[in-house]
Amino acid sequence: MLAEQNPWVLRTICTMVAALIVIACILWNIRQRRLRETYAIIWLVFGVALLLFGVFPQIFMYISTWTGIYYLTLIMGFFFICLFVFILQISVIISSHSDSVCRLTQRSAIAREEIESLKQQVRTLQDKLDTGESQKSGDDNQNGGDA
Amino acid sequence: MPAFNEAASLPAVFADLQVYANDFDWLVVDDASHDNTSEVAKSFGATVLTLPLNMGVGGAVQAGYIYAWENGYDCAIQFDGDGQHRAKHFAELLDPLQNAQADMVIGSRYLDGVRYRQQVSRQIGTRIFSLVLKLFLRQKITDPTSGFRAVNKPLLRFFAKHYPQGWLGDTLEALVEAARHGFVVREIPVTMRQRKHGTSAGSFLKGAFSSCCVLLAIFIDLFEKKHPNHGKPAEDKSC
Repeated sequence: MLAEQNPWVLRTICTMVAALIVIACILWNIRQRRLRETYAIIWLVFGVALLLFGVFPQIFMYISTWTGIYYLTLIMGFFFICLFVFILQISVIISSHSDSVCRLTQRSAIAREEIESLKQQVRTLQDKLDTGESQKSGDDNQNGGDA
Repeated sequence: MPAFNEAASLPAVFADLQVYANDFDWLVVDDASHDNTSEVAKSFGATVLTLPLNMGVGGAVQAGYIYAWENGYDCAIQFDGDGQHRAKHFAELLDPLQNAQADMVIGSRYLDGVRYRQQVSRQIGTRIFSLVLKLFLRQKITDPTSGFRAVNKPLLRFFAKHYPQGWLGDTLEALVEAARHGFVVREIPVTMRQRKHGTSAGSFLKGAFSSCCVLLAIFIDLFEKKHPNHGKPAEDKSC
C-alpha cells in the first residue's frame, strides 16, 4: 500500500481533504450570502493556507529553518494563536453589533410610539375640523333658509 | 415600567398606580411580549413603547430612560410590571431627589428592619454584591438588585446614553456605573410584595451560578474605562 510505504501521503491526503472541506464550507456560505466579503477574505486565506500546508508539508520545514523553531507543536501553536486573535476580533464585532441592535430596537420603539401619538393628534384635529365644518355648513344652511 | 408577558399582572399594578401615582406619566416598555401586554397597558392610559425584539430588562429600561430624557422629564421612577413594587412609596423615593440629597434613590427591602424572604442563594449573592460595592465604590447599599428606583435628570441623561445590558444590568451594573461616575446613590426602606421562588437544588445552583457571573460582570464594569464627559455634571441636580 502507498500509505504504508509513505505515511506522509496519507497525512497529506487527510489534510488536503480537510482543507477542501473548509474551503467548500466558506464558498457555500459566500454563495448563500451569509458571509460578508471582509470576513470571507480572512477565512479564504485561512482555507488556502491550510490547503498549501496539506499539499506541501515541506513549508513547515522551511518555516522551521527560517524561524529557528524546530518543533511542529510550536508552529501549530502559532497557528492557533492566529485563530484565537481572529475569534477575539469577531467577539468584539459581535459586542458592537449587539449594542447597535439594541439602539436600533429602542429607537424603532420610540419612533413607533411617536408616530402613533402623532396619528392620534391628526385624527383628533381632523375630527374637530369635520365637526367645525359640519356645524358651519349647518349654520350656513340655516342662514340661507332664513334668508 | 419594563414588562414582558405581564398582561395578567398589569391591571393590579395600574390599580395601585391609579391610587398613588395618578398625577404621574406612566410609560410601559413592552419587551416584545407574546401576550397583549401593550394593549392592556394602553387601555389604562399608559404610553407604551413596544420593542420589536426582546432586549432583556436592561434594553427595555434604557428605552424608557431615552424616552424620558428626550421628552424633557426631570426625573423617572423605574418600577417592575410584575406587581412586586408598591406605588405608595413613590413620594418617599422622590423626596431625596427633590432635596438634592441624591441622584439615585433605591427602594431597599433590607433597610431598617424591613423583612423580605428570599432564596438563600439570592440572599448570599446580595450580601456579596453589597460587600463588593462597599469595598470598591465606598457606598453602603443593602439591596443592590432592587429594580425599584428613582433617578434625577443628570442621571437620566447618563442612563439614556450608557446603560449596561448584562445579566443584572438593569439593577446592579447600572448602580455600579452610576456610582463610578460620581452620582450619589441613597436607599430608603420599602416593602415589596413577596415573589414566588423555587427552593429546589436546581434553582439554588442556578442562583449561585448567576451570582458568580454577575460578580464577574461587576469586576469587568469596574475595570472598564469611565465614559468621557458623561460623569455627573456640576449643575444643580435637584429634581
